[in-house]
Amino acid sequence: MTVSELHRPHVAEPARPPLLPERPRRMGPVTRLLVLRTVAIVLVVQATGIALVVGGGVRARAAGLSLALPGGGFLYTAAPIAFVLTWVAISVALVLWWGMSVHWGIPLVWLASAGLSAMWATGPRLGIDRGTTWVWAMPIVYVLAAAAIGSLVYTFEARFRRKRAKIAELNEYLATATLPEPARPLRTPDDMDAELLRWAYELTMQPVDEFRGFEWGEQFHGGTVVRYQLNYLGWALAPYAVNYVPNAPRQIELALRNLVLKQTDLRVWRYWRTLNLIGNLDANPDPLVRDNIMFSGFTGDQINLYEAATGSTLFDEPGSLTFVWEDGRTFAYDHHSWMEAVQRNFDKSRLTFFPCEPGWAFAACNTIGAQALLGHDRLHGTTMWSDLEPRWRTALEEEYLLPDGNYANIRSTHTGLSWDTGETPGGEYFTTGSHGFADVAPDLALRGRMLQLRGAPEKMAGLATMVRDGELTLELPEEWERNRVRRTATNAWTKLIAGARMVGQGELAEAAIRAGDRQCATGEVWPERPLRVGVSNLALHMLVRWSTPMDNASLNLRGWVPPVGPVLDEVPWPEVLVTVARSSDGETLDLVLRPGPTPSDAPVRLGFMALRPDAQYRLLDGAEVVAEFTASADGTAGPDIAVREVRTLHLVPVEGGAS
Amino acid sequence: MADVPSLRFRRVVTAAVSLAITALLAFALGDPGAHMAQNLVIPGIGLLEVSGALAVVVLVATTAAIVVWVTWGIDWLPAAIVLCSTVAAGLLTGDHAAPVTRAADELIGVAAAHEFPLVVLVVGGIMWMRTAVGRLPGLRRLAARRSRTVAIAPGLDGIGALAPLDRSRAAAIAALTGPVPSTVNDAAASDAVVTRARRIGLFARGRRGDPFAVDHAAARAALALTGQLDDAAMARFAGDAHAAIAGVPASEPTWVRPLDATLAAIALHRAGHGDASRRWAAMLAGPLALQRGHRPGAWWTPLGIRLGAAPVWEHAATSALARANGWCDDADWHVLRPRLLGAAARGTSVAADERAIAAARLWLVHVDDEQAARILARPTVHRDPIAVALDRLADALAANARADATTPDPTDVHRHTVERGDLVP
Repeated sequence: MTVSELHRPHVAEPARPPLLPERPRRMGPVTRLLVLRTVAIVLVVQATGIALVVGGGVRARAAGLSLALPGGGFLYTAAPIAFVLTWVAISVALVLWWGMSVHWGIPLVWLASAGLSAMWATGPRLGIDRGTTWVWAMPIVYVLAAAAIGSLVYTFEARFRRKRAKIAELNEYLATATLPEPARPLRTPDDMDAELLRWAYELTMQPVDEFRGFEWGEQFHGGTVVRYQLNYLGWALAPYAVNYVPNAPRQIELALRNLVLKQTDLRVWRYWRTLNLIGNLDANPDPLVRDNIMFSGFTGDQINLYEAATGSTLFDEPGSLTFVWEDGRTFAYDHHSWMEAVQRNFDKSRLTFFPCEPGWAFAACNTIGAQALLGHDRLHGTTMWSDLEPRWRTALEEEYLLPDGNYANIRSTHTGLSWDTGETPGGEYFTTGSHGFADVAPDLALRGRMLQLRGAPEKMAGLATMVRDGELTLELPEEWERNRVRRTATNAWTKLIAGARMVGQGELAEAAIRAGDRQCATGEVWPERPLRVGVSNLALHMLVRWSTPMDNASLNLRGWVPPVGPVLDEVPWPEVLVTVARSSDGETLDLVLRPGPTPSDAPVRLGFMALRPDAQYRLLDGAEVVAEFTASADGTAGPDIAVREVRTLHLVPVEGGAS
Repeated sequence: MADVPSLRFRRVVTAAVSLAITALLAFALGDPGAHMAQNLVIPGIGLLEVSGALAVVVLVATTAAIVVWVTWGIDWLPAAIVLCSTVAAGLLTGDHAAPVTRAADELIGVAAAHEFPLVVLVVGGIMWMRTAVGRLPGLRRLAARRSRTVAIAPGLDGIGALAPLDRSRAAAIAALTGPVPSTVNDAAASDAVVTRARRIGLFARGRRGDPFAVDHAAARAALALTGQLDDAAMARFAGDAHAAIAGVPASEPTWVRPLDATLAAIALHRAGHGDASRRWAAMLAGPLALQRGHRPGAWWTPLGIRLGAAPVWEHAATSALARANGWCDDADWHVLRPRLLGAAARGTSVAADERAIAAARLWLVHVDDEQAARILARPTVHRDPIAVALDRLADALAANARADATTPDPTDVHRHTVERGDLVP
């Protein structure tokens, strides 16, 4: 039993998960209201269209048909090319609606097609006489409109019924099945772990305003969004801090801190002004005051984990997280006011879940926002999460839950509609957030995990038979990364490692780590990457790799616990890299030191603290005594050690020594 | 407070004479006079009836000459173009030869006295428009991109890549911190700096001999501060300052640029010529004082006219240096603060922003502004030589200030990681 394991939070996992509702509703009350409003608007438009078609002349009929079906009036006025162009414009508007929150795009194209087709009613035609109309287009337009609406309704209803039909079987499974205990080994970092850590340190310890080694591209949605790279790296280093170097926090604290500070760089959050302007018609650049939970929730969670892993209260200082717009306007926040902004957004949202991009509320981001409030409560004794929790669960279970236990990924807060955005298979998932509900809703986490892992233990057991002498002789196929820059097998390895751990196949997970390293290693160092994968996915790989025995859900629940035993406080960077600093008994200290990016041949000073005052200590490398020293009255000491290669050291007090 | 020059009377008289001559031309000399008057207002327009192409050529030539004048102080060039084109407008248009000839004679008699206010008006308008246009979002980016290449220079090692004037400024600022590396010394006395001074002296005033005998405040300040002015040259520097209307030498003939002048005042002050610094402080409080949040980009000595608004970084650097010497109060900081924080937000990819950030750090030595300190600590100043010089000066002054301080530094992150104050156990 290690000190880290001793510090796992005491959260009783429910023995059985809640069953799925046997008579699920098609949509929750708020969603129903939004959908009904949308339907009402469509009905009004259709009624107006019919009135124009029935009662008007050629112009009015053209406009009416375009209201029935965007561009339909162009078919009537014998302008098929304009009809096709209208649908090209509708498609573009649809993409922009999703991608850039252009909510007014489709209505604009729709209305414009009505206006233009009316204006064109008596205009010239291409190869046809001026003023020609195609009367046959009228029934065609209405058939197409009915088909479009019908297919939407049918798709929704068929999916709902398909899922509803599974409920009995799924509930039977939930009531009877058992899952193996997840594997939570205390790992000793290998060479690749050290390479990854060194890469992460070099990436994060460059000046705060520099971003060498990050992937830059569009900053709205895609795989090149820097804010997510920063989030994921913060999430990856936090478990490393508590699992591997709890007794040497100095280097990793700086790395974690810089990741948070980089979030305040204008280049990282400037995208919000554009989205806010387009989607909310609001020119305020403040990235926290309205919507944008993909930034406020994610980074709020990142700040919590920073505090929980390092104990630093730096970001509790007023103004410590200040955003500055390009005209010098400042938006000053700290850890507390940041979370209050998240809470305010939750509170004022009719759906409870509030949008990422204007008009789009994601279950994943709102779960991470919930994690953020919970983490703040744990760290600071507030009640933000407990105040919100009932409403949040209602939104999740009534508005987002699908009959088969999946949750919809996305919902339009304007129309109530959801669809598959292509981000997750089928546009749904059993658990979400970066902690899979494990901290904010452990019962739902269990249910989701059980549903997610149906059949997985058997598959993993099959894979485990391929492990020979701890090695897995396997190569996984490469797949495209989300930003389409490269293909990589790292993502598949990450999923395999996580899956193996979830079903208790610890040996398979370790073998998969080694096999993945063999397949994906590049041998390169920062600013290049040690594995053949982009920054975001590399960070997620590190997160999975290092999240044992303590994962971030546990850390979020646990909060800050000071290290027990001697602490290696000062280590010269970039000369030395600390990959292990753990005390298993509160008296001794296990250390693994490696040469850093700029190694030194000369001995370097290691600054210990929290030693027994005036006690004598030995630093051992195996049986060899590397240094022997006496702690000062305040429990500090600073021996000089040469770190020219990997040094596995053990700091022990000398029994009977000066004390 | 030393006396500040009052040029109001001179301006009033000049304006009155200008208006009188223009009115005389317009109303007393018939058509040719009207064309001449028009040409005084907008050079070239008086020749429109003769030739549209000629009018455009004159207008373009005048514009170019104004740029040359504002940049290098060659004031006779726009004056000559305006004068010649005005005479030509009178001679070539209409059929009143005798009055025109008389008018031309009169014009020659008053030389460049009256057209300058009009030209200054045009220049002021151009500068205002440039500033206004530069604030438009799209064009601001373009303007910023134009100066981006300067930011590639790798710190003080890249001082030789700067234009001669900026080279002198960088060297002078760097020397304020203490001894400077040889690259900085060499830059201050480089051939490019000397050649610029020589050419300006020759083309603007027909001067030969010592290129630093008159004017060139920045170059002479750099040489003085890096210890490369001998006693005689230093005496000439002080003498020039004493004779100058602003208390310090001009940058180029008739143009006093606040940053160069401030550096010159500091150099003279350090050399024991306190009168220069007192007179310059009076200038900063008087003719060059803050007006609607700006200090002028330059000051034209013949009539004491403020030209344009100083770029943010120049304003910040000038006022911070002045503040460090006690020549102004904190008013500049309050108006500059949002602009400087904006520069910090935009980062250091543009030289002007990097200089503004460094100048802001210089200001922070004198003002207690924790939020600004946090924001301005983020960017890394390491490219542009002037910015690096300002940043080092800020560091040096801050180190001195910290030595006396007893309150903890709010940006000290170590304190937070050690104290671990209010976390729930």
